[in-house]
Amino acid sequence: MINNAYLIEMLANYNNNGLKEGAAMRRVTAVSVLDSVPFARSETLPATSYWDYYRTGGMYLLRDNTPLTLMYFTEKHLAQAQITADDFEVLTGTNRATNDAHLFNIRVKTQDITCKNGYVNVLERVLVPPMNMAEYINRNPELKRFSDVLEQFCAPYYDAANTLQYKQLNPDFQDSIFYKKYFACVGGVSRYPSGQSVNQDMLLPFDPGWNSYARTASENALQSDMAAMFVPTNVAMENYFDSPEGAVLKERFGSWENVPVDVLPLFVKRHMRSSLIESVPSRFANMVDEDNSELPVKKADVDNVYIGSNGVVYLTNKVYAPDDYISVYGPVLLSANDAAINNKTKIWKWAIVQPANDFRLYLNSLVSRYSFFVPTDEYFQNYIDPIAYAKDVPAALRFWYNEKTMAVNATVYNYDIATATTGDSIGYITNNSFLANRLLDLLNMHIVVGGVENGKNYYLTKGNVALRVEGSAENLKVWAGGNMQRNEFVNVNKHYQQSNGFTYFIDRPIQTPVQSVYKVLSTTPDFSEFFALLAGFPASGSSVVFVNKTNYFGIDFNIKFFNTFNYTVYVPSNQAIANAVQAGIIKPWDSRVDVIGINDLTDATEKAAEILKLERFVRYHFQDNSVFVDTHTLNRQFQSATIKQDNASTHFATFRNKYYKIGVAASPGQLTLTTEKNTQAKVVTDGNLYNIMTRDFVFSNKPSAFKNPDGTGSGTDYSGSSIVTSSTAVIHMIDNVLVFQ
Amino acid sequence: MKTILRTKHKTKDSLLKFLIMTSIFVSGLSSCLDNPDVIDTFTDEMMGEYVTNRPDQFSEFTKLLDTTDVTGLLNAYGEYTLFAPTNEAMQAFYQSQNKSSLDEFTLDTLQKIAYDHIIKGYKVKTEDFIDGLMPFLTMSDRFVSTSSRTENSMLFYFINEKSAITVRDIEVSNGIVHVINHVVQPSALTIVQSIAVNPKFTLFYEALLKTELWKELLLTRDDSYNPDDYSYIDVTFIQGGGSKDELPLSRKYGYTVLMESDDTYRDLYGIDNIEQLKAYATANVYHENPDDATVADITDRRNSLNKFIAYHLIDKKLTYSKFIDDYDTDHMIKTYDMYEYIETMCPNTLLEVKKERATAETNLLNKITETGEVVHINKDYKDIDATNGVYHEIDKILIYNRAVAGELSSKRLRIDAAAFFPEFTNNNMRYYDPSKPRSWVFPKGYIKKLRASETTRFCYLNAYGGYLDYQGDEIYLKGMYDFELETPAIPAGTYEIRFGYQPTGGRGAAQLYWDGVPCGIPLDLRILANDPLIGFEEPGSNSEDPNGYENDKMMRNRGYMKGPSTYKDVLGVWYGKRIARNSPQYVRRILGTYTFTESKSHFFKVKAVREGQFMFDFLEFVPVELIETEGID
Repeated sequence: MINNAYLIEMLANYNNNGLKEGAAMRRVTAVSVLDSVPFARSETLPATSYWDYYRTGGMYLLRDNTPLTLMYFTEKHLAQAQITADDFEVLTGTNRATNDAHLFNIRVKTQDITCKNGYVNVLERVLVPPMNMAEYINRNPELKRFSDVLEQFCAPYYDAANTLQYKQLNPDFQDSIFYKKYFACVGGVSRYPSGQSVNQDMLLPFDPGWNSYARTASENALQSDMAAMFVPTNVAMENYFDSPEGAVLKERFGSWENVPVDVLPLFVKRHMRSSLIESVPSRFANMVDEDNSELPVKKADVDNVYIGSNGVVYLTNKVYAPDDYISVYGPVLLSANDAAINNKTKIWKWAIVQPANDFRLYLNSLVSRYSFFVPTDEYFQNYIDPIAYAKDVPAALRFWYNEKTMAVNATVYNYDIATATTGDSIGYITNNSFLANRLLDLLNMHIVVGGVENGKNYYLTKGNVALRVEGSAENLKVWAGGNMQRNEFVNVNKHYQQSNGFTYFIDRPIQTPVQSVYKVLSTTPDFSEFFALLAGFPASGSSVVFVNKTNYFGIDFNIKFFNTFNYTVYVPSNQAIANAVQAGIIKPWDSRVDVIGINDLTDATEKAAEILKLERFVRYHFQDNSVFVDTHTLNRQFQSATIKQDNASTHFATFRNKYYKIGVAASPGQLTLTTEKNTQAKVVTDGNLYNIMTRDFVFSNKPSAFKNPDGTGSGTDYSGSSIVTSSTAVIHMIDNVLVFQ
Repeated sequence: MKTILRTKHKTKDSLLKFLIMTSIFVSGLSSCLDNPDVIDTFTDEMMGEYVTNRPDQFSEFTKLLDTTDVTGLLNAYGEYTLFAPTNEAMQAFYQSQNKSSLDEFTLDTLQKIAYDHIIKGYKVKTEDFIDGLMPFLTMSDRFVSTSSRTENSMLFYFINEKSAITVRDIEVSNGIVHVINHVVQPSALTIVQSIAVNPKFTLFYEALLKTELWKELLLTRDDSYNPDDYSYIDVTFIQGGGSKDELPLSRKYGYTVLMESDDTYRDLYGIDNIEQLKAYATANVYHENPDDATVADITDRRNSLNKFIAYHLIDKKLTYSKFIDDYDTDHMIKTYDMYEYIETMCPNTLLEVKKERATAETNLLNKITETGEVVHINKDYKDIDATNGVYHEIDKILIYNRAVAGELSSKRLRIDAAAFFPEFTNNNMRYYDPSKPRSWVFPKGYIKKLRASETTRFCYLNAYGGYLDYQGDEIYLKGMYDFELETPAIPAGTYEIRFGYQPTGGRGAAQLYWDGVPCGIPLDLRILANDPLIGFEEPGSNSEDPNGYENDKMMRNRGYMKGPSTYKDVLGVWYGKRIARNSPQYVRRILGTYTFTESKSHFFKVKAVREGQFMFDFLEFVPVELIETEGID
């Protein structure tokens, strides 16, 4: 019964800041929640601790304390909401004729019989008041698995108003009445019975037991719509656990009962829809979740449908796992708890979800393909921080998850660069910005776009850091420049095949090189001639190559024209430079036998011209894109860092105002270069002067502006330092200089 | 551009005096003329009443309007411009059609004639006239050209070159009336037909036929498009600027052909026939893939002559002002040169259009920096209108040769969001109105080079003074969107790609993808440029860095850049009339550095990951060669 008299046709209209015609599908009924107050026996109460107090004696429990609603299908509303005849059939299991009206799935046999005080509509069958969605799910044994999950998000709350009212109606009643509410953003509660706030991550999008469900937007009144849920049957839930997609869940937890509650909201949310109108079968193909990820429901997935008082429950033979479970992030999310002793990923998860890092959605991009390396918590130590590396008191960091603050902290240890050994602890860091910054840098070097098991040895990470990789699956070994510097390698302990790539659990962090191009060139005797050419440019001139100034502060000196990218530096051998000097291709800075050096030129114009010429020469040895001596075959041209300024014809027909190119022919173990002048040079591979990994960091300030990690020294606190960006380069020695004209 | 009428009232005596003066003047000359000292008239009659009340001048035109039920429209409130042909003009028109009266025409024809004379929605005064096709469509969906000439020290205005305005700028209550001495008769020919009958371009036409490229110029309108099919799209949404989203009324195609005349081929290049043209193309067309040079079949899109002709064809209707001038809105700082990059039908090529401030020249095609070589549109032979396009004569051979390919590969290509979609131009959406914003919402499939999910509401907000946008316009989305657009072909090279946008608190976050790979973590469009994460400092606010150059570098290290210094907010509604560079509410996100091994199109995908607004102003492709010396523009 509905208070107020409505013709069937008028049922589709309602008022909400003006008449909304054809927009109504629900109304509040005349049923009072106190008409019958059910007593919940102890064995029917949910298994969570919120109910423990009542577990022995049971309790008077309203499934919800808001009015029940009546839903109906009318011609006008179906047309306006564009709910098709096919949708109707799926929802109700019956067909309809034009102008038919249905209450839930029961046809109105005779419409609009006029009486003195209203209208009577005769139904084809008796209407037993339907349950709300939560109650239906809870009572249907076929849905027990899902219900057990859902019931972890509800608690009993004392209903003072209804207790009082009921006592007035029934003076003998001496007990208390409670109502059941779900932790939810819409219509639910956001505090536990204890009064403590429910973490935002633990809230469902709406309360599935809320009789008077209404969408949040102002234009969406109760009448306009109802909710929907896709609820997998017990069989579907078990099948998912046994499927490849669910393997990580099963391996980690063994059964649904053991899945920790903190990873369940994503799962439940994925199955809850705030609008039935937007979730009818003809719109299944358009449905996306709150992360804008497709919800791949097919009509064939729906085994049965229940029209509840506040929404429709689709019983499905499939589980719609959230992207978080099936992406490369999944193993991290599902291991960030205490379900197992080892291989916890609390640190990595914390790093991923930091607002400043916002890495979760990147990892959940299912159109991409990633290889994601995950140092598990027990191995998160001996991180060599590049800023600490440049200090008088170098330090290594161990990251750990602080269970009290639910945040990552770091312990700082003395570090001996010469022996690559870690000493005593010298401090702690709890500064969130510092930790998020370093872990973001680590994240960027632990992910490769694409696979790493296709036969090559070298791959670039998202952060431009190169990895050397050998083996496959759980026999995979990985190094980056920092690991190589310390003669260590990283082992894969576990690997997971996810929808968008592989996740590898590893036994130590992949460590970035902490040597710059400057450092390698300046300390390698075989590179001394080329380094002298680079280092000789006047510091105040525009040709300068090595800089150490605001916005370029790194460990020592940075290459001025590097730009957050990956590069290759070809270093001619000392002999090759000497030959070039002898051949008059370049002038050295200092005079030598038979050659007047630039520094000794007296004609300013000539000197400036020679400086420019030398600048253009050396920059032709810097190439965009890192190319390694590897196992692959490649024949491609890459850009150098010298701009062609004329229209002269060159070997690669390079346009004016473009960088001269370098032709790179790679074959297993070899790199041969061709220049614009069609001369050749080979990467020298009979020593160790190739595939040298470097990284030019840019820090927020010069390292000397910060105190030492142990708190000594002057400046601002070490924990206030940050890595802003970086470029990487691979250095190879070559047997001949590169010339473009 | 919308005319804001001056509140001027003249007495009926003065009006009468004016009309007598002009009619005396007209009777003395065969062409139109006007007295520049008396140009404005006003009557409080409605437009329909105005013509109806003057049967001595307009009885025939009144009859036309009555027959076609248009008079009522012209008596309704609104804004209209009417070109009213005199009785003499109507009679002359009947004769030219071998008819003796209106009654001998079909009703459809009459309605088209009536609509050819009315612009609905705009009051267009002669001071708004440009030398060429105006950006307003008549009710028959055609552009009209306007021109002016001075004869005997008098200024004469023409519509479509033939219809002289005998009395201009008559203000009526609901618009402007211009009296004309010749019925407006837009060409009924398609662009191919129009070129075919023009004796000036016989060699180009022959090549157009023989290469079979004429087949690319045949579409006029997508008849399958009907806005009524999209009733489920909410058109009640009002944008922040106050415009209500509209569904496009139609989906028209349009083409532009740039042609060298026979005289130009012969006089400047010694080219007299198709074989010589073929030889010229073979010798000069640039082929990125050298194998293409050996393709002999001229109907093959890789062939030199085919590429040569295709490079003259554009799949949008670009009247002279729509190459670049119409985008030189009040937002644009008038000391910076402007560039537009247009995709031609020659595969994987661009055409540069430059507006050069120093020389006050516009529509400079492919100007080569080093040599100054440039192709101009002939100002005396442009805007030849056809039903599905427009063509212009050019003064030199337009060719994608090595010099042009080199020039374009070393330029920063900043492409306004609207320039990605020819549909905006062909359906007259890409224009500027300083005070009245408009916005459109597009059904799925309306825009060819756009793929969007079912939940995507893709809108275009045309240029409006209240927006702090490059060229004043933007793409706008809200809710949970997911779309991918195809770019024009970008020349081979290594580029830094940047995305220009305005952050505001109402926006959401989006994952951006380049060619299917995420460009880093999601972009949070809520974060203003002066947030510590981005670090913007307004230039001039830090005495140690007065020009903000150090701040520029710092922002770059964080993956951002200030907005360019080349445009500003005009009205100051939200952005304080600031130049984009100086505003924390404008920023460019560096998507990354990408190497393209060949000239080709790419895909830019945007997917909402946190609900909220999204806007897209431009993309720019910056060859890495330019970065060290790039200015603040």
